[in-house]
Amino acid sequence: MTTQDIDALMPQAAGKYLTFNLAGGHYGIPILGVREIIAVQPITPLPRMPDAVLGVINLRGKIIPVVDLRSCLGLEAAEYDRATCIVVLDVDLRNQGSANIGVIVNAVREVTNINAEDLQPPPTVGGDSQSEFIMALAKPEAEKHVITLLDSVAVLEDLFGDNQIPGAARAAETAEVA
Amino acid sequence: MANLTEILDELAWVVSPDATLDAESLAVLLEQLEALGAFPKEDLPEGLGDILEDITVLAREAPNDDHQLRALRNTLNIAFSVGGLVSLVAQQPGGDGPDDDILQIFLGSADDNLSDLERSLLAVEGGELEAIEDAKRVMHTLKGECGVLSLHTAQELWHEAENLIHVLQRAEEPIQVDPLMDLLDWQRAYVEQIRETSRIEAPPEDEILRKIKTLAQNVGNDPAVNATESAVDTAPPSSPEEVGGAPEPEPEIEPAYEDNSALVEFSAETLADETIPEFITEAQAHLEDSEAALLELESDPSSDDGIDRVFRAFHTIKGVAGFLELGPVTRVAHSAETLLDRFRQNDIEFTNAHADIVLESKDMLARLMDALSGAPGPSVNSLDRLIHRIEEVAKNPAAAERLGSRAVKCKLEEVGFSGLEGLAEAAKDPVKTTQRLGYLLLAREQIEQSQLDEALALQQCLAKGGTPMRLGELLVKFGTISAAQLDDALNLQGPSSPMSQLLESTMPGDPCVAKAGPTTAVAPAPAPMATTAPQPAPSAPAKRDAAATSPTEIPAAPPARKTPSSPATPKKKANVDTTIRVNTQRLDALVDMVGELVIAQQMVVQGAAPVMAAADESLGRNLAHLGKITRDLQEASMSLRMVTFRSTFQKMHRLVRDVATKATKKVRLIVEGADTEVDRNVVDKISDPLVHLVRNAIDHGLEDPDGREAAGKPSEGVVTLSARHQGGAIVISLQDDGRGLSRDKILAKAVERGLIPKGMDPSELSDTAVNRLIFEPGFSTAAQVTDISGRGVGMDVVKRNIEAMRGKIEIESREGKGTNFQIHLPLTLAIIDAMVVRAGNDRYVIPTLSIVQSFQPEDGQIHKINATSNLVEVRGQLVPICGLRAAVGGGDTYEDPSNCTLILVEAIDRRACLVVDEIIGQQQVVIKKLGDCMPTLPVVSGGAILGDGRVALIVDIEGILAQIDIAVPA
Repeated sequence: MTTQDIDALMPQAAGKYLTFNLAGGHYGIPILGVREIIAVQPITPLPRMPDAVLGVINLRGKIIPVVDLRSCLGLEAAEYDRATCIVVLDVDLRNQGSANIGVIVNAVREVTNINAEDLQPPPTVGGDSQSEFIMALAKPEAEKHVITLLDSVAVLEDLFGDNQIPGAARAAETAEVA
Repeated sequence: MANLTEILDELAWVVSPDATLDAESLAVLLEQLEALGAFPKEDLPEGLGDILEDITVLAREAPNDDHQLRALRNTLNIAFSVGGLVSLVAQQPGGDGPDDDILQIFLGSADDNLSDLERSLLAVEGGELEAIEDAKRVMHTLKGECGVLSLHTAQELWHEAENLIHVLQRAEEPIQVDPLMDLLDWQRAYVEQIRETSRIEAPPEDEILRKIKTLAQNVGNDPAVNATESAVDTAPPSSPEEVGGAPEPEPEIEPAYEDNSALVEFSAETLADETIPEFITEAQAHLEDSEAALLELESDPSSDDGIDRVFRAFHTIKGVAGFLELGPVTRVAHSAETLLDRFRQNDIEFTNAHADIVLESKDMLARLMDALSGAPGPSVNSLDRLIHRIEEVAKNPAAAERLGSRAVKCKLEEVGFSGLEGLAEAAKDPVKTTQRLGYLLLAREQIEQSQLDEALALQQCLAKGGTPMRLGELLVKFGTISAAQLDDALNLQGPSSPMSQLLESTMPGDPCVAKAGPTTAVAPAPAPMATTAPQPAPSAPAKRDAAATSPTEIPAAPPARKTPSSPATPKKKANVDTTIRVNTQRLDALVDMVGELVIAQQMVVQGAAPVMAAADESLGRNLAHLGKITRDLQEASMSLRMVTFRSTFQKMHRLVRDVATKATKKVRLIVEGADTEVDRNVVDKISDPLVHLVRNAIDHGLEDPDGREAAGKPSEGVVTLSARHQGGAIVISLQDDGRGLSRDKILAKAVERGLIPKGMDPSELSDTAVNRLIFEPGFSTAAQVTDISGRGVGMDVVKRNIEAMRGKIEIESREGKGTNFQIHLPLTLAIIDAMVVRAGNDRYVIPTLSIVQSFQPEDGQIHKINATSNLVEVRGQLVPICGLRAAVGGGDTYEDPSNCTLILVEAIDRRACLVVDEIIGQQQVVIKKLGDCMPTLPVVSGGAILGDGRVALIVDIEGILAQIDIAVPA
């Protein structure tokens, strides 16, 4: 990412964010992509999916997949507690159109307004492999912590983007060989 | 617009397949067209005329025996007249039709009457002679109604038909059903036309009238003559040969002499067939699919599946078109299929050039579909040329490398010719049509060139000023010619005139125009004028003539059922019944929501159970009431989607009749349970497989009459089609009393095709297994590929469609006695009857339709093969065992199958036992997608929300069995 890119990106990244905790860190996702927040409910696991896809739940008659954001970001797993909840996102995925997907977070904190001047580009060196999911870092005046702003679409596209899952592709290959 | 596209297409066609039109003339042509594209829009009308004239000159300079150029010139002539057509069809008459209310009533009852008549006629043909009395009554009613409404043509036709029956009955001859059927279809088309466009002009009736009259006259004459006559007459009048080729002495030898203005048309009776719209929709879906497959093929030519997909699409279209008697469609699809078959069988590479040809056939089919829905069709010539070329390429695949029309079109675009829209604008200008009138007048030396130029210029000024006028009117107004002279000239322009002579003197080198003559005599009733200018009285009759322009000029407007009527004419549709059409998506949404309501209600009841014990009894009562209402609501919403098989089965009557005729066999169709109700989606999707099955039953299943008699059966074959409910599912069975499946033939073919694994003795295969082989793609024991069947695609289609509906098909066959196909289908596609089972901690849903039985294995029933595989012996058959969780991919395998419950499941060609921990129960579940963005999983067909609100996965038995097949070699 060049400096110009970042300069162009920063004002865009400003806006309202839903902030939440994940494995001790503070994260934010654009509020416009959030549909609702629901309590954790029993998840039906799906076979042959990446670990990050926990399974599916019934959202008022509609079946939606649930993703473990921790596993997407390479963070260690944590037990569910009373604060754990599912954030249902309304995302427009490449090749897929709009979809509802739930992500599990440790605890939802608040909706914060983040100004352009509070923003910093994400670290480009030494960061972990998941840094492409990070839009920017924010350090608002009122906050003690740095909030990592996530590009929720990028995260989910990584999982569902191309309509093929590694497991399915492998199964298809095996079938052809046989 | 469509016309112009077509003309360009025509141009491209003219240029493409020939070797004689050299590169130089092509270049000139391209230049001309390029100039055309570069013209400023406002100058286009005049400029277009000039340039088109230049092209004509270019064409005229070529030697006369150059067929290609002649055809080119011919095409360009059409270009001139298009302007006239575009403006003509844009206008529909206000019309002083019959009384509106009576008309509505007539329309309302016409459909029923016609259906009754069709039923009676079929019955008459089937030997129930007394049914003719019913038919006569209906015909008399129709005649009377048409008379009241001043629909005189129809009245006359019905009168003649009555007359025919009367004469036949008096002569004690068998009733000839075919002409009556034609008339019936004609009337249908007519009714439909009135309903759609409010036009009361009758569709062309000459053909039918002639047929009926000839028959009536021939009664009592030499029966042989009679027979030939009717045989000739029963040929579909829509066949392109008849439409396009009549005046040509030797059309086959000199195809370039054919008139490009002859368009492929479908007769009114064909268009009136109520199954046509359905067919169009289906065909369009198939065409889209084939296009997608073709495009895929272009990027990956080695994909066999791609060819198969395209092939299946064409095959299905051909099949249905065949029995609907859509000759041109069948021909294109058949030849394309033949071509594709070569790639399926041989190792010839499928190149882009081949894809081009197939795409062209696909485009041609699409245009034929347009023609079916009422738009002008492609020209007969382009159709013949395409078929010819496909056949050539099928013989010699390398021939495909020659310049195809698509390539030419691309070239046109490359050189910057994209002025299609400007061209369309220009074509609306009446100047083009008037040019011919000008020629006529000039030729008769009634006006001078200068006068003509003047008048043309004046006309253009008027047009720009907003008051367009016809050239003729102008000339009369300014006294250049008399009204009588104009009438004369316009009459000459008309269809019945010896216009050829005149034109020959005008354009000496233009024999094809001269030849065109009244080829397309089926021009519809006089279309109205294009101009809106106030009309001087003397020219009023002339205008009518001008409108019924010569067929050379107007690419025969089809019996304008759905011609683009001007938006100003409001579409009046008769309000025939009290039902309303509801978008199926809304209906689906309603059914879905009711499904949710049922689940929610169950959750409430379950949650309230502990409370209820303590609370007062009114809560329990209210909950019970809620439950009842919910169930009623669910039932009612389900019934909204339910339709009977009646119309589908009705279609089969016609199919049987037609296929039997084609195969020269005597067949009787017995239909049972046509009133069985089933989900609309199921009915829609079963139609295709049934068509294939019925065709196969007649073509392969039944012996020919001699063969039947030799086998000691009555010469008339019987095909029984029945539908019934059976335990929450629909069973459709198709039974024939023919020769049955031949085990030996199937096995021989299977061995030849390598379908039986090496080292396996074919004689060990069970009959069921052998019979299932016929579902293999490309499997056919037919020695010869016919128009009806024999390529081995049909059964593949049947299997795939039925699998897609989560149904299954079984074959019972006894050699010499007949074959019985039983199709088991779910009642609805949205809800299935299912078994909920537990494996490990998860619950799964298994469709009941796939389950044969469930049982607890006894000692010794299970045989260990190796460390991981077990077989269980069920009813004398060894079946592999597989843990459900393992099969779905949930991880752990079962511990010890002897302590678990086994569920024997089956798909079309294999069985297996799934190990589950517990069977929770049987219930109906609504099938849901697993999220909008989920990739398709091979073993899970969806999710269902159970009574507690949790999601359970629906197991795809087909997918699982396909996997087990890999894991456990048989």
